Amino acid sequence: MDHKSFIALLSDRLGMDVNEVSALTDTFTDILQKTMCNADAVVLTNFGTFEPRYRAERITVQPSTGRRLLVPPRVTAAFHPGTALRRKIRDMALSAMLKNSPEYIQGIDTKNGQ
Amino acid sequence: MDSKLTLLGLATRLAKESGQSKGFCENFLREFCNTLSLKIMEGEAVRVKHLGTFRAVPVQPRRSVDVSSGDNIEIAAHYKVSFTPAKDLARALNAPFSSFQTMPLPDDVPAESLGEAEPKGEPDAGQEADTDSHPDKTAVINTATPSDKPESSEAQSSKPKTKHRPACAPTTTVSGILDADPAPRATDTLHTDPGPKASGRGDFITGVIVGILACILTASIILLIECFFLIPPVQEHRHRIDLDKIDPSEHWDDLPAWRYPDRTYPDDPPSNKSNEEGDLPKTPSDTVAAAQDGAKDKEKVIMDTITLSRFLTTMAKDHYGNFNLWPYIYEENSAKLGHPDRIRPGTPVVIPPLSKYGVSADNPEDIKKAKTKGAAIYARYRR
Repeated sequence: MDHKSFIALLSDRLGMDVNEVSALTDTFTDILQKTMCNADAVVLTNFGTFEPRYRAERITVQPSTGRRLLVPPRVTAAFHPGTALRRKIRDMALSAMLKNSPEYIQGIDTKNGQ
Repeated sequence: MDSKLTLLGLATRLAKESGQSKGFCENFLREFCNTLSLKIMEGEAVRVKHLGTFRAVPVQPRRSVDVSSGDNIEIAAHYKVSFTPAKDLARALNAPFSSFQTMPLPDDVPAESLGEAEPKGEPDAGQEADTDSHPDKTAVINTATPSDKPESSEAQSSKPKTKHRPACAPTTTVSGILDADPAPRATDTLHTDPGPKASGRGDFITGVIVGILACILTASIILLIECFFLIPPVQEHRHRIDLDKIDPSEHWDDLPAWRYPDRTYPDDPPSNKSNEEGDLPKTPSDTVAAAQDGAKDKEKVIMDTITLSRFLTTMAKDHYGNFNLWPYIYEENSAKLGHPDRIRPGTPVVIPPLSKYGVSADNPEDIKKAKTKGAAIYARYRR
């Protein structure tokens, strides 16, 4: 689902105009970005936490050439799903995912076989 | 810094910036999260502009160990939420480190000298084992049980392949780093080995200093050579030294008359000495006056010396009254003179009397002959 479809769905659920919802969403993402740039986390109850995560510098080996590379440190945006969302995904979405997920089916079969 | 912005705080800020009420904004945020969760649970990947993409990712079942009991357990297959941040969000967050690039390490750098940078890849390999990013806990589980030793060693051996990635790590960033151009850049100051760089800068400074010293030394040598060979010493001093060294009795013809007033010439009787009256000529001009006096001057040898400001023409002007008569002085001393314009300063020359050549300074024909003679002298040295 792309951004436009998501905004349309959200506007339907809120009963608001699409442009108004789009403007609110942009403001929300702008606040989120500014907050995370200040190394602060944003906690959305029953959904999850957005937080900046510092990745220290490290040494990797490029598989094709075997050369060692020094990867610089970086800050990434991480999302840690809340307990409620994790539980929902584990329990409630199984039926929908089973239809389109051969990996999950294979995993279930492996578990039952043991 | 390192604080948490809750939903209420976020709603307050959103209300402040959007002009809506706080309750409205809170409801909007809750509905935003609910809609997002719903679509994620339906298995769709939801992309929110300027925020990122959320999707549910399947996780294969795997074996693990119950930390409390130590029993082997089976973690069932499940789904986890994956979040890939949008490019502008990732770029804004990584702005402080945006100038750094991935650098290839030289082969001669030992792993021990790199400190703790090498083992830091360990949590990344074990991070995907847990549903949520708890690398420390996963690492403990993998290494605590002896039955899992082959798996942990296998995980270590496959660590450089970076097959699995953390749940929340941006996938494009990792692949971009591995595919990045490993050529070093000038802005990469943090990730280069400080030792070789510092020594390289030291070598550069040393080279510059040595170069400057070499230039100064060369310039000094050239200056000394120029002083000793090209610029002659003061004429009077050198002349005096030369005259002190030589035996006057053997070089009467080359010595100035004013210096040795008591000398005698082969055809000059002692009674004709110019010093009998006690008037020793002090300068060449005095000698000129004496040379123009008459018959007595015909037999007298007059000496003069080439200096930086006294040339053959100057002597001819002083002694004969016309500078065009210099060729006669030159012919008189041609044995020791070279090019008339390149006579070494300090060279003593004999000023012959004009009567010796039958020339008069007042005769225009003689002046003309002298000019012709001068041209002939120059013609000798013309190539």
